[in-house]
Amino acid sequence: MDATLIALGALALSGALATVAGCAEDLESDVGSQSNPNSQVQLAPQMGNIHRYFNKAISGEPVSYGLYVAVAGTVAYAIMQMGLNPILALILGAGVAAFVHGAYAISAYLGRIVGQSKNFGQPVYWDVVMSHLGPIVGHGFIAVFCMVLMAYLANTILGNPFPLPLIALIFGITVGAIGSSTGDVHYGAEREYQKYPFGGGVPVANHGDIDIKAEYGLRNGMDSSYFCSRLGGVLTGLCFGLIVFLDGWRGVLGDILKGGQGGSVITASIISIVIGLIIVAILAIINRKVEVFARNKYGPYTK
Amino acid sequence: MATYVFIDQNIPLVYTVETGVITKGFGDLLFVDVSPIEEQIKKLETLVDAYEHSLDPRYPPLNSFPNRDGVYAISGYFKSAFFGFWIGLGIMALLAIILGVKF
Repeated sequence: MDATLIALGALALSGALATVAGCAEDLESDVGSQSNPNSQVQLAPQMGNIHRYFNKAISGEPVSYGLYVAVAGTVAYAIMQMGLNPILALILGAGVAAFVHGAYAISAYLGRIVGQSKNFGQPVYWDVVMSHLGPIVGHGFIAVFCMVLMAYLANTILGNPFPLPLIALIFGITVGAIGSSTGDVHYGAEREYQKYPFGGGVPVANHGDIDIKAEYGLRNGMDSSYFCSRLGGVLTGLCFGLIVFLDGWRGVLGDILKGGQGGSVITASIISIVIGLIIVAILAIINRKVEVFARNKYGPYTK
Repeated sequence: MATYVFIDQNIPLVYTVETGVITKGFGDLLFVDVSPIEEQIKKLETLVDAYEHSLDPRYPPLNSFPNRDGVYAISGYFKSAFFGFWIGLGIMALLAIILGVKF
């Protein structure tokens, strides 16, 4: 048993799980118009755009995912304390979280849409509720299960000192924040405003003027998730996987480079901090390059 | 004997099979303005081209803003990067755990 190799393996597994979790989380929030785009979907009927989007934001994505993953972690922790198999406990916990998710999704959709019905004529489409609930709960289950399994790995193998529910809560907040900041930009600014030129942001004059027509017929949340599964979802997964993997990798690297068992913890920490700074510098340069490339190629800007 | 096909009984519009000529009744030549039909065919051809080009990542989508050629290719790179990263991490996890348990 080599502890460093086992830790590296658990880290790689965590990275793979985080990749899947980020992708599933972003696609789920695209079906349900959860995070950044939800205010525009909510505003659309008031601006005269009667739409068929699902709109299920109970809160921002970080907070709601913190809730779901914490529910899953708590249930799994309780079942594990009863002496059941950990994997079975994690699956049961994620299942309970999926039910919580579905209940919140339905109540949020009905509450938000009924609030628009009387004054602005937005109908409640029951077929939208029934057809969108499956993908929402299914993708949510995948994301929550991956996060809870990550929390379990962090707790048992990587030596995180906190109990499982607390790690699950923190990981849920993290995955929600990544999905909200990375993936929903693609859905909100690109998909809902496809008729406006790229790069202008969303001016106040365009608020609520979202695209309500799809490639075929009226657009709903499924079309959004189909669109986002090409780029937004996979980039969210890649982003979250890279964050988890690189962050753990620099710690493992510091442990190895400090000089075996003889080196001190402080040396290892300094090495990992330096590696982290190098990674941040490289990413900042890449970000700048990508932004300049995109503005030159797509934007309407002139010199 | 010539063979005729009635295209429309009411006008009457007759198509002579051997000569390939469409006449009004039996004899009067009919001149039809085909430019509206050509326009429709052109419209259909742009749609067909766009449909064919949607399978080729080098072309931009129809009705997109300028400079969008290659967007499918860029999204293809990122999707491959996603799967490569994911599968690579999976293999790495498997190898590291197997080696770590063995040694």
